[in-house]
Amino acid sequence: MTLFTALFLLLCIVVGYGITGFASLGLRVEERLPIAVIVGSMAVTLTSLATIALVGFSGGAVVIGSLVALALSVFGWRRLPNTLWVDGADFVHRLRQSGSANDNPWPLLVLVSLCWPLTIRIMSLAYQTGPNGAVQAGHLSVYGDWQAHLAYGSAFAQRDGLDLTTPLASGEDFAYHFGVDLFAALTVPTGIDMPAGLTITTGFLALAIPPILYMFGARLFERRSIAALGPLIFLGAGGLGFFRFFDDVRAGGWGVLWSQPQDYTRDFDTLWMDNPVLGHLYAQRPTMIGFPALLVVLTLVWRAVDRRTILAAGVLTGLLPLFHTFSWGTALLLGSFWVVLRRREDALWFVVPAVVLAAPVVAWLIPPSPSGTFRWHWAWVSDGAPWDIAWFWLWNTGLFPFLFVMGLTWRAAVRRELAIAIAPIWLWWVGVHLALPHPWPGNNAKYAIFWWMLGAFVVAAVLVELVREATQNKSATSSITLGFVAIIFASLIASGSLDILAAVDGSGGAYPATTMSGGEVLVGEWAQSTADDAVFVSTPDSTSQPVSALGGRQVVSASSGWVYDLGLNWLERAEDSKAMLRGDPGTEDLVVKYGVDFIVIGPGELRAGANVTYWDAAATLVYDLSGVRVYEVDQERS
Amino acid sequence: MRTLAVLIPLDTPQQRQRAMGWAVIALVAFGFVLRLYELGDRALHHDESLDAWFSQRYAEGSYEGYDPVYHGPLRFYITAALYWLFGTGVGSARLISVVSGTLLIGMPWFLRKRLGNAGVLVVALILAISPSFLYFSRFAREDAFFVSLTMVFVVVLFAHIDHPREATLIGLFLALVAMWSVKESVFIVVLVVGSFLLVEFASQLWEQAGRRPMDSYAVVSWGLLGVAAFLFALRGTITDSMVFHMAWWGGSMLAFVGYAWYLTTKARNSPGKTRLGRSVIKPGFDGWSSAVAIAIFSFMAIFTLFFTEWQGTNTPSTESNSVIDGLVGGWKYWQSQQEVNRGGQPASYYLFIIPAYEYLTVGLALFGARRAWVHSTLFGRFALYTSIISVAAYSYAGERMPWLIVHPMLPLLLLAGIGAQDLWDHRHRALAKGSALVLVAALVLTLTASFQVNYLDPENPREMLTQAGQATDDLADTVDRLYVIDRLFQGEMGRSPKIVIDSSLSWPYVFYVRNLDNVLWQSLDTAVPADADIVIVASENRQGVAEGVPLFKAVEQNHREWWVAGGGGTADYFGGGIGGWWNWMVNRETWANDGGYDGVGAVSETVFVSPQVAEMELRANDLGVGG
Repeated sequence: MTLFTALFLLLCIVVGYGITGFASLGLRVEERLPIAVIVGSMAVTLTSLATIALVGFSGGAVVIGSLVALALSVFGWRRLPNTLWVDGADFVHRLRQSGSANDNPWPLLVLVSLCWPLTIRIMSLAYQTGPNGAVQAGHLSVYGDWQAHLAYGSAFAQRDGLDLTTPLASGEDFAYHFGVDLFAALTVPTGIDMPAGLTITTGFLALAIPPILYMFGARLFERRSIAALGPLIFLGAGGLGFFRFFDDVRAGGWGVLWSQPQDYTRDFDTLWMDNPVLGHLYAQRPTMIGFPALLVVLTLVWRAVDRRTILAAGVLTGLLPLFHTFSWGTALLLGSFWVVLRRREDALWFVVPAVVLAAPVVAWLIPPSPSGTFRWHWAWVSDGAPWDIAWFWLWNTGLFPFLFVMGLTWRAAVRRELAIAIAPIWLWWVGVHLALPHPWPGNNAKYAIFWWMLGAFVVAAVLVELVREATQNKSATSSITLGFVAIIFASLIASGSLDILAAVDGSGGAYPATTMSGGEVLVGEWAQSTADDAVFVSTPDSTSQPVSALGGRQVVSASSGWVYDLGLNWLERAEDSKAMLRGDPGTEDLVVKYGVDFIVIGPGELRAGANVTYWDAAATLVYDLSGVRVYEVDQERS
Repeated sequence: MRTLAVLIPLDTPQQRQRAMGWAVIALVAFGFVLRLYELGDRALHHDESLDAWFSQRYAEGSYEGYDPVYHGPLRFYITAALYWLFGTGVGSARLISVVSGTLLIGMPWFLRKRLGNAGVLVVALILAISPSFLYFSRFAREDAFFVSLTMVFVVVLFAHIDHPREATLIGLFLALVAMWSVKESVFIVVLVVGSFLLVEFASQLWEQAGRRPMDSYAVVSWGLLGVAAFLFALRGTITDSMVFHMAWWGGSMLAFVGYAWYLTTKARNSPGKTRLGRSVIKPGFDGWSSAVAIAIFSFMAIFTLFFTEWQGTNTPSTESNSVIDGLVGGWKYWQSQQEVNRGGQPASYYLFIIPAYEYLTVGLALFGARRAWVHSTLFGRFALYTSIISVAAYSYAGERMPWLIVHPMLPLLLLAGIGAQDLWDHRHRALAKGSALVLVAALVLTLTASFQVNYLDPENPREMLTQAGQATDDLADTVDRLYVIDRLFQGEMGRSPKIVIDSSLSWPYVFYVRNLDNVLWQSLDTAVPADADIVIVASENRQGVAEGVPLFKAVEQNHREWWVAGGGGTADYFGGGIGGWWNWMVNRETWANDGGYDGVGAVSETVFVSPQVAEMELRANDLGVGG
């Protein structure tokens, strides 16, 4: 990270801190700062997007965009009720109070002191330089999903103008909530490369998530214990996969703890929900803004005392689709319900901006043929019988659903109004049993995760209430109850914790794994020197896509899985790419059809049957280094 | 100023304190940025690479334990944790110095009642921008960390003297253990601070006995300084000199304390009623036993690698076990090195190098010394006494190196803070106004010098803060080149290039090439392996290697560079006269030739690459890739 990168991120916080002033909710410094990270990043991304559209992508555009955001935040700064010093002094004052004082933020400090080192560690392992200059991924999230995010980011950072064609499938619209990847791209002019930009911005946003989760718990449930426990239950969530761990221990001894042979929250056979940190936040980068922004919106709506705060929540919701469409949908639906529930007279001040601001982006994001991907389907990936569904959720989330229901009906744990407000999140859970909106069924977890996130606080409330009653009654069963609660809590986070442990270990399992060899990194660098709209052919069989990931250039078909997931004609593109690499009859027509400029032949392409002899004769060799060749195609000749 | 006053109200003490708080926070942030900026760019110094490597060994589970040659283990543990967090690299290796050097900037805040607002700000400012503090806060040795711990010790010590509690006593012991676990300079700190406390205690006892207060203190301190000077003059003439000197010094002070104690009790007063006596008695048996127990536990944990290694490293100075070695090994080793005089610097070294870079601090410290002498306070006496004794002790110690200057600089800085507050308090006097102008000029020059040595040319051997172990920029470029070649070679040949490095050039290469697969360390005074792709050879073996690989392409460069004032490896700070110093201060021109290229000493090396490697590099260069 360079000084300019740090200054850029600091500026985002300054912008965001000012923006928090637009809501009149009396936030505390430990609440404003993490919110500032999220909303500041959003604001700088949006204003920079506008300047990039006007003047193209450059350091100057980022500076202008950032300054515009800063100028806008000044109005918020002027509305802040206290100076930073007063807020800071208040924090220190509360910290010095008795530990039992409800305002003392020590549980938050404990929470972040647990979460932040793990976050930094995971980020430090995300991209590693392996032997021979290879780029290595420290986790499946990076090996798979981040390569696509790298391409999205590079599509901005390595092209001069604003070109909203996806680098993964030439000629197609971006049609992806790319905000968080654009945010990462904005750091490239500060002197770092795209993988570093992706890592640093992810870490930056991730550090804000535990305090925002805490704030949500504290503001809605008004108990620090719930505020601290809820994030742990959510971030450490997993099902009963940890039972497999005991099998592994029996087979390999306790040493397997440091070299786990498998994941315990995901196998895409019986375990589909995945751990929220690894499967949803780390891998799905848009959630890094979407989830915390959703929680901020809900907090604002819940605690709003005036119309201004409701409007701020509505505007924040309306700006969400570019960053995370799923969170926008949840914020809009749940937020609307909550505002009707609590401040019906101000409902339009939330709904109108949340819909109007979002509408153009949402319209643009709708896949080319949504009817081709959406389908009604009963019971998601379980067999459909009630018992199968029950078993599926028990296996995937443990006692969570039971405790969630218990919390919503137990008044001592969750007061009635709050239970009513949270209850509709079960519709998300029901929804995943009714339809498959995306080509791959695993994507349904992206909806169920909201149920998990909000439910975590309800479950925390149940556990806290059980402990409270047990410690107050001091009856013979108290110890049994406490032990019972401890076991439940452990069971809720055991699988997730094991997977997180594997992610921070960095020395066991399949990772680090090479995503791009040294030679591929070099060709990715070289691709940056080609025309912005150049189209490449590379293998669709690999997630190693240096031309798009580092060069930001379009390929006919990047990894088939990504193209498939976008709802595009993935199979046709994949087959056409392979045919061109092989030099099959009709290659000339395909070259013209896709407007191909370059053919890449490296180790991956050779495995896919690429024909070097054909391309030696049919095109001009313009790059030959470190095991990778690139041919320039004369389309007219083709 | 009026506009500023509107923006930052300074009418009440609370407002002034708030403004000062913000200013200190700003200085800490500014200092942090200064320390982080291009942190990994300067080539590793020999010692830095060792520290970085030991930390890596601990991270990998192969660190064996405390060896006083390489100082205490605590920083290896912390740096290993930083590797774990941020990844292994040059920047991470320097991070412990960055963090501790940054925290140090904020610590004067905790002495604000003693230093005053102006004093705190000036000390924090100097800590942030001073050439030496900044340089060694970006340097992967233990000195910045140790000095920060020393400052913590001082802050807690005065907090304990003010309000003796169990917590502050535990804090003192923990700071002491931490210092002990980092560097053997703890013996000097104990000597300096301990002797002060004894003298001060004697003085308070004296006063308690009904005698005149200040005179006695002056007599005692000057008397002890006289003893020290006398023993210093006898340096080297007495067998086992260090122990002998310490015994003399400590014994004479204890004798005086005993005499003062006797006078106090004779006057039917309790020694426990003195300020220092109260700080000893008030925590009670429970407090002391808790503090000692925690200290012993911490000490044992650190020196036994957290209770996993009890055997010790079995070097000539660590022959017992991990705990005993931790206690006395450092003393034994550094005592044996007392006469070696590593670095070849004279006893007067710090009297030259400190003013050469830290004239601002020295200037302010002179004002501070005057203030401390005229308006005697406990803190003033402490700053004055420890400044003088620290410079004397570090001058006496056999090893004199640039990185050690931050140690005696610390008490001088406290004195400078007192001086700054004195000038501020008397800002309407003509002398203060005139001095302020000079000091502002000194601040500008300090900033210039700091920028030059820290960012403009941090490997410049003509800087007195760089030392003979400093690797050159060319070496760092070569390391980058090796990684690019490795990447190209793997793609083309399906294997890593075989790199052979002359074993006399091992450091800092050992740490730099840790991620390369096929590196062979070999003394190249014999034949070069026939299958070598890259050979890095020391100058004395160059000819032989060149004959062995006649087709290889060679680049000659310096591996390390240095300049010892005086030339030829013998320091002579009077050699250049005033003109020589002037030229050095203004242009960093040396006044004596130290041999080698351009008047500086150097170890040179030659990098040979095979024709195949050279062709690959050329092709990559034509395509504009690979850096």
